[in-house]
Amino acid sequence: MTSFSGFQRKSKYAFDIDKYLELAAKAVEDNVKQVQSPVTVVGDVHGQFYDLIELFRVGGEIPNTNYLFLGDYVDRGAFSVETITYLMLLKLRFPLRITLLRGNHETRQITQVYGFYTECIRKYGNPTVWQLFTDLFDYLPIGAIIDDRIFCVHAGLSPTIQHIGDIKDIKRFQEIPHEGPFADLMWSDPDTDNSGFTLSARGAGYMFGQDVVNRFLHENNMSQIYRAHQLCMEGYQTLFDGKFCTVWSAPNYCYRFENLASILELDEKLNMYFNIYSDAPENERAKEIENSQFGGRNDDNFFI
Amino acid sequence: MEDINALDLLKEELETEEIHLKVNAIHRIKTVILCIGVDDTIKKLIPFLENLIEREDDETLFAIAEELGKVWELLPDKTSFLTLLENLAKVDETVATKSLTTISKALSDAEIQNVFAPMVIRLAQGEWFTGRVSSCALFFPAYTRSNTQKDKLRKKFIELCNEDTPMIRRACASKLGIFATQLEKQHLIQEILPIFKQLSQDEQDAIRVLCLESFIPMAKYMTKEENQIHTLGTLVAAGEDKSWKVRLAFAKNFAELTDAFGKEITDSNLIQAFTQLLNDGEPEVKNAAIQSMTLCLKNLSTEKICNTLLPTLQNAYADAQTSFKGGVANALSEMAAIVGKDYTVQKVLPILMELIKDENADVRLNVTQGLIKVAQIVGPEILSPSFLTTLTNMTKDAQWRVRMAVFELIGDLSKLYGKEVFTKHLESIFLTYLNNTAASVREMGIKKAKELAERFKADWINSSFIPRVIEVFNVDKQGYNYRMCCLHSLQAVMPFLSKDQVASQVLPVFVKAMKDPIPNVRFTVAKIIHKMRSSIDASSVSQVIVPGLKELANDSDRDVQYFATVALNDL
Repeated sequence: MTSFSGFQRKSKYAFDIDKYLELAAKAVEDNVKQVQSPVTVVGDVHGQFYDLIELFRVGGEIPNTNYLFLGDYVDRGAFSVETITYLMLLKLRFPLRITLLRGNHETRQITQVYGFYTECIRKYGNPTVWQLFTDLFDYLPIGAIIDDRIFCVHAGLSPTIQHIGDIKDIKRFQEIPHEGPFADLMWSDPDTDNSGFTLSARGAGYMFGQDVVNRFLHENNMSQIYRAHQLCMEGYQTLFDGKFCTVWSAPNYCYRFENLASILELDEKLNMYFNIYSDAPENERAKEIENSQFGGRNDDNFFI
Repeated sequence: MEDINALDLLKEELETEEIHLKVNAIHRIKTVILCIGVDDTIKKLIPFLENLIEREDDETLFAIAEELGKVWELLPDKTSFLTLLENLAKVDETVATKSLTTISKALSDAEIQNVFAPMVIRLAQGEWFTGRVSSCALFFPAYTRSNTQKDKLRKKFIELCNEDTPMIRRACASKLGIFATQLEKQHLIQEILPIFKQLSQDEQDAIRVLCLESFIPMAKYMTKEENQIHTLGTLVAAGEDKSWKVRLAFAKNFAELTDAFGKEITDSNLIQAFTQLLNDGEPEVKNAAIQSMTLCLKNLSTEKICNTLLPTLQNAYADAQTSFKGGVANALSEMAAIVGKDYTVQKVLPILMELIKDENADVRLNVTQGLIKVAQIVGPEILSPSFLTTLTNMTKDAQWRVRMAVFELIGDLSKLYGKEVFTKHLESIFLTYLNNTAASVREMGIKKAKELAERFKADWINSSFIPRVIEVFNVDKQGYNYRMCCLHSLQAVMPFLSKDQVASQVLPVFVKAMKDPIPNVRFTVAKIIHKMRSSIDASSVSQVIVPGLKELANDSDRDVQYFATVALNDL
């Protein structure tokens, strides 16, 4: 684990992160976590902190509402630090009411390219906080099963995974590898045109057809798969006769796609409701501050 | 020993190439002065700083000017730093003048007359145009107490206003207003107003804009009659200026201008120019106009509003931008109070009812938020069948903020019109909040329910509200979020019930909730019981509540255990 001696503390939250790491190390969850309905499933957030707050305004605050997040908390948006910190705090305070899964962006490699690393340097002055967070990401579970019926994962399926038990065998406390079952679960996408597994344009994971989904559900005695990973203009998408659902929770993605977002509310009878929302008005003001004469100086104070 | 070191240290620190280090060093000048004392400050520090002006970069000089504005008090002679600042003012037009203005407040009248005012004049006729620009800002603090220098100062200022260099005319235009407020009236009218007129027609639109903005303090200083005679024409021309920036400034500042001119002149002269701006080609001008309009309505006659403004609005908003339509909604809501009931019903309300269906959510939101003001004027008649249908549809609006505003409106209408109207027309729509899909909307419903409970009291709560809440609570296919909303609704009205009523109406629901299959519901009721324990009678507490909580303290869910235990500890 990274040591943090000689660490220049710019924010009082920075040294709390090592506490999360301690707790995460102690209360390790399984690779595939058992979750009980009712629960609200949330897709990619990608550092859109104000939209995360908006999401809670629509779906209800924790602990009253239970949440299952499917990963991709950081990168691309302007407030990855605030987003992941807030979610970590909620997890610490209400561990039974929120589950955080790992997404393909919860890695050292990807966060160095898509913004989280840069943001940490800008807001904290050195890479220590990023190192602590990416260590923490190694502890996030890979998947979840709701009521033994619904399989939840960030991206999709793998040719080397037929049973849930295969996922439980993965050694997850590491950087997500470039290939193999772990990578596939974090990178794959559904294919409406072909059957079986085919190569993915992403360069990691595979595309998989309806037959793969049906077989997996049948083999594991489950009814549905929930995942995120792909942008949906309407906030969600259902495929394969309702058996495969994508939830997307970053409205107006990258502040330019003008898409809607949704959270998937599952009640105790497993009724589904895609609660749709658009981006929060606070984003407008945040943008103005960013673009203002002293842009870059004021944004340090949003959360820290 | 220490004294010399402080100044030497400063000199050393300023040798560096790093600007931010130099600036940091400058910000410690106060310490240096305290260390080396008054004499050495005057003999050594000030000359040293003088030398810096030649060779140092702007940032360092800004820092010096800024610091001088803070440390001048340390020396007994308040004019000690003036020469230094004067030289700094020749180089920079912003920070030095601020510090000079600060110091001027502490100078004696004699010092103003004999030192400060001559300095201003020197700057104003100096070679450096930066110095001349700086001087513009200093006429205002200098004038009032400068006695023998007053004539000179006025003459100098007007000379500056006639300069070729646009930058200087700009600085004059921006300070013209506040300078004018220091002058004796006859000087203002005879000397300043002609210059004002001239600058208002300057070829540079930036100068014309500054004139307009500068005009406001001046207008307030003059009487309404004086304004009508001398400045009205200039102002009306600004409203028709060929540059949109000037028209924008006119639109933005219109409300303040109407205050200065008063109702009559506004009504007869200014309003014409203004209504044109509502149809201006530039969207920014239009938007500024509609925003200002809301603020200046109080200065307009009802007749003008009805016959001039409203027709203009009707035509202007047809395919306008969102922000304009939002502004129209705001203006119309404010108008109701001024134009009275009949006119509102005939002319204002129809426009609002159209805007409320606009495809843009912000417009719908604006209208909804303003409707309560209209409702206050119109009265319960506003609740026509079509109005109620619109409200009902809006409780299902795609945007949750609109839905939330609707429930807030319904709550406020109910408080306004009273229980009978509420029961007849609004109650059933209102209670649908219990089923609304967004958490924040349900919370607004709960908030308004509490206000209604306070107003309509136990009778309504017991006979109408609680039964409906219980009905929703018991619906089999209802999700846990909705059951918790019911519990919070009950919590909201508990303070307005007697303990007996709580025991008979509310507690049975709580008992049922304590056995709810979902842990969130169980700990929610534990939290509610804890918070509202003073509303529950002792015997219910011991016979019903405590046993229930004790079971929850051994619940399988840790959060339930926690909240139940907290509640038990305080019971």
